[in-house]
Amino acid sequence: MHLNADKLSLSHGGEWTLSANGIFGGEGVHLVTGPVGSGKTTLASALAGIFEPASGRIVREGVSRLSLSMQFPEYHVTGFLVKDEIRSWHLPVTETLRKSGLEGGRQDRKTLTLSRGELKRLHLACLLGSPPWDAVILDEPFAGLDCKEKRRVCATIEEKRHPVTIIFTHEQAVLPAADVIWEIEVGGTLICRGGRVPPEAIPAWKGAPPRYLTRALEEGARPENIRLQDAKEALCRMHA
Amino acid sequence: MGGVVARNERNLPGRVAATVIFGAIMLFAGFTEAFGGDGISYGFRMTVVTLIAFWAFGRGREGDLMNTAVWAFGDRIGFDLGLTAEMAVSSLRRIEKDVRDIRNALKLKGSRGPVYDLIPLGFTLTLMQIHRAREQGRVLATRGGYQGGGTFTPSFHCSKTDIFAFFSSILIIAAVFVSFVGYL
Repeated sequence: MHLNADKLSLSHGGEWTLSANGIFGGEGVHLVTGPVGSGKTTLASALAGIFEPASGRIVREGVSRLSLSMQFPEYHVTGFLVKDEIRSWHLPVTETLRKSGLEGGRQDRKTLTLSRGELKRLHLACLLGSPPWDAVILDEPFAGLDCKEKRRVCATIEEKRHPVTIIFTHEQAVLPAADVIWEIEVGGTLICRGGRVPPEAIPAWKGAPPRYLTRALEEGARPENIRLQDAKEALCRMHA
Repeated sequence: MGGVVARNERNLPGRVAATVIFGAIMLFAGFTEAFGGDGISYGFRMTVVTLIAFWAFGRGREGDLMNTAVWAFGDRIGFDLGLTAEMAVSSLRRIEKDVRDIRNALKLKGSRGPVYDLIPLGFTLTLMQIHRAREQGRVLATRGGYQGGGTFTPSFHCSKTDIFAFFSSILIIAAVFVSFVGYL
């Protein structure tokens, strides 16, 4: 089960080009980072099949159910009321509201009158709470969420209900455990910083490692993964 | 006229939108002609007006409307008119992308067909525009202390083709005026 970016070249109005060649393969969490404007959203759209590449192709093997969470959650809304929106995903209302932290009679609120953060929570709870997708692509899933909600989303992602999860983000504070780290370098090339062996991939992750990871690496620690707790544990091991 | 408009691909809408717009014009023209009206003339005039509208929308540069409105009506009414027009046009340009993204999102969610999609699409677009207008209003009020009117120095860049466009527009206005007088 994989998504293969086969010699992919993406261009946006001739302004820039992004080259990607690699396989988002095997089960696990793929983290794609890169500076703002580097083409993360375009690559996410291309992998989801809604953006036509300038050249190359996307090969999907064993992936028949795929979904993309767009950066702006309002694009996905089809239900007038919150309860209608949840039902449009064929999910139970009460449980989904609980998972998204939106209890308290908000099922009868008009969906588009929720704040951007609340809407994002609702959308992610619906998408990630759906029957398993073969691959789920999340474009900036942490945007507009506070730390508590980011941790809640990370915990859901780490449950790995969906075999392949690809996260596009420039989040620097709260991240889920990842299996593969990808990075879009300045100049527009997607590079795999290492798969299945995050401890070795982390020092090679140049552009966007969170501050806590940089500090841990500077002190000589070797975190097992990219979460804050991994950095803390690595430092504890070192000083033990 | 079609050649001038089509010279730059950006001047024309997508194939589907063009088919719907020109199809509707032709349909009305056909009905009018069939039931004793002057449908051919209507169809011709509407096609010209629509092509000019596409051209104006596609070739317009940011600030054109502000420059023109302030130049014509001054810093008070002209500024307000120009600002409103600029905001409206930038909203229209954003709507193009919004429609594309909403349609893609609905497709991924499991679209029930273009007719069913129209309801959530229209609803989401309308509410998004209201939210954005409210935010823009707040930004204008809080950052610039905007209450009405302002200081703006209009500037224009003139090229050789503008002279041709100027005389062409006078011809169009004259033709419209003559046909209006003839109608009276």
